[in-house]
Amino acid sequence: MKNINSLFKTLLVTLVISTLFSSCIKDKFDTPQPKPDVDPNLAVNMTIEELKNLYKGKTDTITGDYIITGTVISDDQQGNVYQTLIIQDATGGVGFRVQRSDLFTDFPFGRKVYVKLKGLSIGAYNNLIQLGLGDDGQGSVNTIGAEFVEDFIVKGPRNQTVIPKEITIAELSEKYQNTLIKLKDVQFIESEAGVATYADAVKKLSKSTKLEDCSGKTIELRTSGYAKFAGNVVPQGKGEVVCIYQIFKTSNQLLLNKVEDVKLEDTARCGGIVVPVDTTAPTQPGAGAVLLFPGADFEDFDLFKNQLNSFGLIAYATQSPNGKSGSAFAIKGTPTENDYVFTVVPSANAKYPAGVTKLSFYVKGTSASSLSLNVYGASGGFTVYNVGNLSNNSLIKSSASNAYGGAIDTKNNWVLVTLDLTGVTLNDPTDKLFALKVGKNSDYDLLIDDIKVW
Amino acid sequence: MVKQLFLVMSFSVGIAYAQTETDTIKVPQSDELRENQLIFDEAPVVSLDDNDVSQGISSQLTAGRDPFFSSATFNWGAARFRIRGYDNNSFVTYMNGVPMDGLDNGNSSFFLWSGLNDVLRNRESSLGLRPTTYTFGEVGGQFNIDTRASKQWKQLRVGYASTNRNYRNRLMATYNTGLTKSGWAFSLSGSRRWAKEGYVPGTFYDGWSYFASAEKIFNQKHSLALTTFGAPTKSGGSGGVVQELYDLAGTHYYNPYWGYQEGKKRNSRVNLSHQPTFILTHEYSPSNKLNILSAVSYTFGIRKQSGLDWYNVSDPRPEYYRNLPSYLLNEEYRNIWIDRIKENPEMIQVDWARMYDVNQNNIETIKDVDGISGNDVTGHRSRYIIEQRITKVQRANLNTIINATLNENLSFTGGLSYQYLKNRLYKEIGDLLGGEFYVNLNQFAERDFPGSNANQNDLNRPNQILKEGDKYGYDYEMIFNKASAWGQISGTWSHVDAFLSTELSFTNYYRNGLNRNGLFQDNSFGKSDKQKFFNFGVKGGATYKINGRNYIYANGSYSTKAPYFNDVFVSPRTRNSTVSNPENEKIASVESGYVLNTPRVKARLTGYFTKFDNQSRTMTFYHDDYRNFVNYSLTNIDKIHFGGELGVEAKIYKGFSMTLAAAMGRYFNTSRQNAEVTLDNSSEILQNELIYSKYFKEGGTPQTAATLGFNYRSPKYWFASVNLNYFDDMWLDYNPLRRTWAAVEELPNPSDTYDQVVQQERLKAQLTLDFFGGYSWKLDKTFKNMKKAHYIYLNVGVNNITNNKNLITGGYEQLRYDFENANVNKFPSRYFYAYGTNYFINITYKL
Repeated sequence: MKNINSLFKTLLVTLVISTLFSSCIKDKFDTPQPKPDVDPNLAVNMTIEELKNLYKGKTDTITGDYIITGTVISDDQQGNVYQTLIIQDATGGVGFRVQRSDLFTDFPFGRKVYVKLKGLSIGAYNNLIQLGLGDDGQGSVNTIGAEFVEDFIVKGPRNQTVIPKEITIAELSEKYQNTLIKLKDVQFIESEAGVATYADAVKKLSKSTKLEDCSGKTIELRTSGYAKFAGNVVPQGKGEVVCIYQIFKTSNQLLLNKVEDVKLEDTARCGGIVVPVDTTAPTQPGAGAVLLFPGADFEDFDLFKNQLNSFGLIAYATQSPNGKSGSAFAIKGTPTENDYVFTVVPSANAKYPAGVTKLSFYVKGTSASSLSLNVYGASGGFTVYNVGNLSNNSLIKSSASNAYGGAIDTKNNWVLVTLDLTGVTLNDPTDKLFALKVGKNSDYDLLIDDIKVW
Repeated sequence: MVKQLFLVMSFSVGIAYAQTETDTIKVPQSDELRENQLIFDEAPVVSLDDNDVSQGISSQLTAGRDPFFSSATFNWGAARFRIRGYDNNSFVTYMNGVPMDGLDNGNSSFFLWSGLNDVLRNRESSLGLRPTTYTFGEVGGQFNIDTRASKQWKQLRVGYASTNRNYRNRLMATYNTGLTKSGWAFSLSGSRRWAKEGYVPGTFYDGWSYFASAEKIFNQKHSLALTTFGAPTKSGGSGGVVQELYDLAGTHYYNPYWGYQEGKKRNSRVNLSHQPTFILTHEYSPSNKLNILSAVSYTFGIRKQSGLDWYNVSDPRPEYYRNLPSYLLNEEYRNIWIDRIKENPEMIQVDWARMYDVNQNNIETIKDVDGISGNDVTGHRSRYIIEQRITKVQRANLNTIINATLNENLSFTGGLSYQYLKNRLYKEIGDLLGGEFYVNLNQFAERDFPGSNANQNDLNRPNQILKEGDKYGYDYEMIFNKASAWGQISGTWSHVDAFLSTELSFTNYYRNGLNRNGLFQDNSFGKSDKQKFFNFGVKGGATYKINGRNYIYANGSYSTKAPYFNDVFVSPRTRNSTVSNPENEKIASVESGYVLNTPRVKARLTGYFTKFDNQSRTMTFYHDDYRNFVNYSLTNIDKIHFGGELGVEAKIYKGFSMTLAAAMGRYFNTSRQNAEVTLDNSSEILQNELIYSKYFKEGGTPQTAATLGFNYRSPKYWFASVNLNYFDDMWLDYNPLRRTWAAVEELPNPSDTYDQVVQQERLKAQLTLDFFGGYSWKLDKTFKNMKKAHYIYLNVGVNNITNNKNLITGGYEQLRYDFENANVNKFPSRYFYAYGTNYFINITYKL
């Protein structure tokens, strides 16, 4: 009968199709929604200060049901902090030795944590109190195995505000150990600034560098050879450093989380020496750069002179045929005062690209003192830039006042000096746009070319 | 790129876990036989990465006639038995006139046609040094499959199979018109293989296959066939791990690659492959004395393998040695940890939730993106991602084969061949796991050369921000050209058959770097030197036909072989550098045997001896002493493979028959290899080390294998057979690093420590039991009004009936070694286990 044939066929086809439909394998995984942080709200019954008082001179295990809370202030992303978790509360800070090398993933800076202390061991490493698991036989404690960290350290919500305590070197004392501090108006000592590296990145050895404040007090900054910034040269300027205060035996020591916490941006150091703060200085003007004023390339010297104010051009400044391109502006002589070499008056129809943030010019030659520039902006005010020591391309940030300290020796190369105009608006009408100054009683033999903005 | 190198080579990939489906098809010899014989479906070799299939020839290409061969593939596949201990690249496979082996590694790509069993039935296999009518061949053997439409039997087949191996279900349908009166023939086949989870937890399988062939036979002289096929397959992977993890998990099928994501199992190691092939075949046969088969083929496609990648965080993989309890020194805590794992097995699986959590909360600023000063990007930077390692393939072959009968005794076979291959290898961001971007940096170079641009993977786009789908890491091409010519004279006389053949070939290949990386600024971008090799081979033999039932034969061959790309280029992901002096491998082989062919008994006994000289191989791994990734370019590898093969098939009484097959071989190194050691982060040659590798044995295959089978075939169209299999002389792949002076100089000899470090591990002998049975039901007997012959076939195969879960199919000593303490247990060996009881039940309707 035909029926069986067609029955068979239909059966077959239905079977095949239904099997195919049931064979879907889903391999797409949606991104899970970020889970909001939860505060477990454990009952805290001890402060960190009280915890530190539990230490009686030798390694011991904590037997009481104590719970502390604190905020994470250590950050091991840059490799300087290693296998250590440091937390602080209002009463102080303490560190935990943990066998993990990426604590910033689960315990980032600013995360609130609770610590169940029972079972942990307390010891001290050269007078710095530490908590861990077990006696290391050398006065301190062993690390808490990675698997057991969360048995003791309970996660709380992330992104808690941590305000580093502003303090001076003289005020530092034991009670601030393992807390986040901010030192203001400090700088690396003269012999290290701009010369030494944070640590020995080549041999991967730890090193100390020295910070000092303007009163002459010093403190050691200890950095691991494995830190990402170990090979960075310590900056020359003065400013603030946010770090963790630690003690080593009887001396003070600082521990950096990341190199960005060192903000030494003031080019005027204690004692008046001016240093350029060089942060990846541009090697050429950016795309779309325009001349700051007509004649700023010094090809047409008369055009240039027409832009100046009534004081005109100082005597020892001339045009030179040896420009970076074409002709240049030459300063050759020994000023007897801190002279204004020239001051440019803004043109009525000057047009600058939107969002101008940099002013640059080329320099070649030598001088015993340096250059200082005024960029005039809103309502008659002006911003000062001190070039300081110059031998390579430099990026200069503004300073408080004119200073001429520093020497220029470009080794017969054209170098680009770039001023960071962030916060300065050029187009405000005033009677002045730009002025170049030199220091007194120093020999100058410089060429300057192509003053541009971009 | 280097990162991928690190991860890939860091022994979590090494050898993918390939399982053979071991149901064989016995190819019918004639229509009549087909009527009476039951056909069991042979599930294809499913390999997760064709590079890692040790031979994989198994099932699909079994020749029913040779009792040894069918046992070798059918019964011993589960133990990953390799015929004569040879690698996959000692065999060659042709389809419709073109060679299908990859020029990059010589491996036959069986996965190209997985699931297409129905159309692969017309095939011939010849083991060893026998002559063929289509190729010069390789020492191991050669296979030829003819899938042209006119060769497919006219039929309609629909089948469904249920199994518990790599996949759980298979649906297959084939329709062939056979050769019609108009001279046209068409063939269509497709299959669907799938499993939400295969035998190993966390492995899913999602595969389709398609096949189409159209052929026109113009007249007696010409025919033209166009064939196309492809097998897009996606599957979740598994891998061998150290014994500690098997013990913690309580099973030999622990899979470190998966973890729960919101309640669903997610596998980090997903393999995807789709390489469609087109073959145009022309056959010209002006007389019955001359036949010229010419074919041109084109294959293109993609292979992807995903994996975890991470930047400057600790290794998140559950199988990383520091994430295991054995890493903890304190015994008390170690035991607490072990107990926790036993109570909470998720602890040793991938923790997806944590990686998402970290990425979703990690805000960072990347400075100077794309090298533009001041171009800073702030956002959620992923620290963990899923990367895709991709190979894009383009292949073309031109091949012609001539068969000419010269006179009543002699015939000539020969051919010309040109092959081209271009592989493009690169990495891609697969999944940002909750973050907004990744950055194209080499964290290892960053650590070693801080503050420089050595950490840039692509100097043209430094600090590149990467989104999903962006290329990163490495990006290079491998380009190959090979031209060859071969010729063979064979003669048949009353008592003697003899042949002599020779082949000449020219091969060249080179690397083309597509990005310039910071570590090798002058040597990573652009074309490398062209590596050129000239190779030849000579093969000959004779068979003496004592009478129609007894034959003896002896064959021998000598050939040279060009070294493979990855063994010549020291670190192709990073640079164009090669080993100092790439040289050809030399292979000499002889075999001799006796064949008995009576109606009651079929038997073959063979002895063989093969010498491989001057092989080379590059291994890359993380070296504890150098704290860096190291390339060991091994040269001067000499090996001997010799042994005997026995296959007997005997009819006992009525429907009962017995099979016996045994392979006893010895495969080992005969030389002290030379290792040129280079660091991934620098191009200098660190040292030339001597490896004391003499007499170390080949791993990954039982060197002794035997099977004893009893089979009953009933006249009522059913059959059953039982096989007892024995495997022995299985050795673990050894770490050459441990057999150097540097490894042992401070160890007292003799001592236990010395032996531990130096001795090669021998795995325990194993026994397994297999069952196969089937029934064939001719429908028109039951439904008398059905016009044509319809059949339903039922085949059942149960492997490893005794559920032996201790059969180690392979494994290797980790290349990472603790030199300081000579502690082999710091980085213990990794093992792969064969499945326990597994089955394949297939029901097919045939019209």
